[in-house]
Amino acid sequence: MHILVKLFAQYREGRFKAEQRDYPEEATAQAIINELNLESVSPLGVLMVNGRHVDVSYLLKEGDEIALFPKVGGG
Amino acid sequence: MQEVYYTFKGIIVERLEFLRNHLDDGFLSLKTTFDAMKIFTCNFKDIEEEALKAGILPLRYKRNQNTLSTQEQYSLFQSSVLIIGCGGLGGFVGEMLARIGVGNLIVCDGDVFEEHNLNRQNFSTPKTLGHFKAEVLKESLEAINPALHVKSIPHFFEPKTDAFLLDSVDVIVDALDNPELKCTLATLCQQKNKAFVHGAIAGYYSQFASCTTLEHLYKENGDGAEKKSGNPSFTVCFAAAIQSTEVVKLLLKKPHLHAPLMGDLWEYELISL
Repeated sequence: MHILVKLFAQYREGRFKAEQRDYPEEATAQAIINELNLESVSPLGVLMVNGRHVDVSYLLKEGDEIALFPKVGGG
Repeated sequence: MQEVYYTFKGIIVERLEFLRNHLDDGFLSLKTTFDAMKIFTCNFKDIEEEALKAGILPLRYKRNQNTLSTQEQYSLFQSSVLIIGCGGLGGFVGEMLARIGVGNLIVCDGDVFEEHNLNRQNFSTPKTLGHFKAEVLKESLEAINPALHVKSIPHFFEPKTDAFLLDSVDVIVDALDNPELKCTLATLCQQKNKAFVHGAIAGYYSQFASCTTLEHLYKENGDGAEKKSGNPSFTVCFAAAIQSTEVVKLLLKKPHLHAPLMGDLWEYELISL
């Protein structure tokens, strides 16, 4: 299935800003996080699918748009 | 109205009348304020309050016009803000709120300035290293604006024992650097129905939210990206400016953030979630 993956902030470095990518049916959001090795950069801050906050166990559907932001905590 | 009089060339003059008779192009100058303090034996804050209440603008706020009306300036003067964390964000938020004229500030941090703070933290200098950040901030803000009342709390915010601090203020500023404590503070503010302004930074990036809990911005446990990307001065100032704007909007009942905002100073983007 086709998923539009959007990365933000440090997650973009060495990767991409937005890409249409193919995943097997019923892939979870976590599977994308793992595939892109995002946790080597930073723990996950924000996860949205189609503009709504969802959990990493969310099952993706054809045409979904996923947005991933790293955790930002400095003061 | 203040019942304060003095005799001027044999005439009894009320304090407010004295202020009105000594305006500088329609504004209350520092000189007139200091003169009135001597003549009427009162403090700076009393005079500024009386002037603002009567619609007289202290000259220091001239360039706040017409972003702020004199009535709004008086509202800010009567407002109280609690800033939790006096490092990067807290130091600059404190200065911006002091300069714009928020009358009462409580600043809380148990940390002392260290050498690695000098890249970004307001009022950290070689001379203030080793001093409590909250105490340096209080002294610095009162030096900038003597009309302010600033209370410093030189210990780390402890939700269980310090929650009462939220009760007396209008807005709470999250200038902490610990995601877990940020989430706890946000939830505490929700429970107490208190206006809350969140901000956080990492490298070129920042995030903001007002009057909401924060779990949806901190999905996973562990250190934030700032542990690798650092905290550069420009991101700190940018984030503190947005937080200060939010505080003023909340205090003046203006429209404010209703969705989290992500700031990207690499691409120069502001993304509303």
